[in-house]
Amino acid sequence: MRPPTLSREESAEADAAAELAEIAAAPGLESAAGALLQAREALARARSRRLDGDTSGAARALTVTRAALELAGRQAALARERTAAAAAGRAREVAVARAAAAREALAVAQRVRDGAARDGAGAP
Amino acid sequence: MNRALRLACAVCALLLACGGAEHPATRLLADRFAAPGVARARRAAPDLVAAAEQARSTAEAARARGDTDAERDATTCARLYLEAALIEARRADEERARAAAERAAQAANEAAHNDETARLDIEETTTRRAAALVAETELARALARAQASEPRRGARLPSGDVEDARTAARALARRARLLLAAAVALGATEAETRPAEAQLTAYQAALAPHARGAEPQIADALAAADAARRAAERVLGAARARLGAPGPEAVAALVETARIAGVTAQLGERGVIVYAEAFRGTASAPDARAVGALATVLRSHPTGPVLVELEGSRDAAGARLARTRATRLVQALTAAGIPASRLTAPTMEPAAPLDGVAARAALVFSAYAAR
Repeated sequence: MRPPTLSREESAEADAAAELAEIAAAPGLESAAGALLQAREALARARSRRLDGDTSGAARALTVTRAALELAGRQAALARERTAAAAAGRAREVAVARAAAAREALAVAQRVRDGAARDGAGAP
Repeated sequence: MNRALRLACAVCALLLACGGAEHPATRLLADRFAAPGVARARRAAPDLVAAAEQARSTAEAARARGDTDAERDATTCARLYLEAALIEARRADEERARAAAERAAQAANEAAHNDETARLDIEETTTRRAAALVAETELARALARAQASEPRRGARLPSGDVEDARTAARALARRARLLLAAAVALGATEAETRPAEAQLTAYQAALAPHARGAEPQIADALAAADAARRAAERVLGAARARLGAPGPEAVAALVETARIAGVTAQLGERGVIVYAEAFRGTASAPDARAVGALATVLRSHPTGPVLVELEGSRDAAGARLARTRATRLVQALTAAGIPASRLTAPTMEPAAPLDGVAARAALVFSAYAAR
């Protein structure tokens, strides 16, 4: 039994649907919700137009789907980058605090050493 | 008048038909393209801006031919691509900020690590000096007690005091010998070492059975050993000064190099001592990894001679094993490219007698000392 053959339009719709599902599953989805909704609507419009025989209209709706998916992907990437940047900022604060503490502890150790050296110089 | 009005209406209709009046959606899109940030987006995501511009052209063409649906779809595409480009520019900004934060965190962590290492070194040195001070004080007390008891001829020191004084004298004499060995390695002459040697001879004579009786002269032995140690310190200091010994930075670099090479280093009065587990079990040949690490340290700090010692047990067999292994380690280091003239294996008892098999090597960099 031969597998069913998809038309070019159907293949393009299937690709867009797969990409949509992929973005919907990726982290940072919340910020891309609007664009994803727009992509879903455009994809549904493409299917409807194709079934109505409006080939050029279906192609245009698919183009809109692609553009909305592009935007959703970039928005999700921005959200991920912001999360990473915030984590890096926190790590920097921790490191700076650690460096300050280490610098202070070193200064204390140096004072103790210098004091001991002065005391030792007076010892027999 | 009617004729003029009709003419004006006809001109307006013609202008509208030719696209002279801008469509609201088109104007909105034009505003978006003129918005601040688009130039930056063009640099950050040129492909997205190009796609937006192409969709904008498509929308204008659709409008020109009166295809409203196509114009709306293309306008939406242009808006979405342009927004994606702006988002990408912001993401690039965030990425740069993150990279800067990561670099700053790394720099701060490195600074903290360096300061923590320096603090540990200082604390170690301070603790050692404090312990040395306590030992000096105790020694002075033992010396005073022994000297006070000495005039009472015939009277015996309490056995505990005698043993303490004997132990202290032995430790002082050993330190004096080690310091003298380091000084000789740095080029001290026989004339320079003679006073210390004389005091060591006096120390041994004082411990020998005395003509007046069986009681050794503990106070004399202590005094001679202490004098020998002080004399040896002077000789070593003079030898270092002549050599133009490395400064504190070189000492710190040597300690750091040793750490990186996976061996430990300690700053002592004889110089920087680098320790490594050089022998495994009963193996007669030194461990290749330890030899490699020690050779690395030796090559990167080429100033002055280096004493190669092996810790060993106190008995004669242990000392013999330590000397044999020290000689083998010297041979292995020489084979690894270290000049033989720089390495010296000791001929005296082990530096730090232990109850165990000689396995840990101590390389004494005599020229590297705290000032």
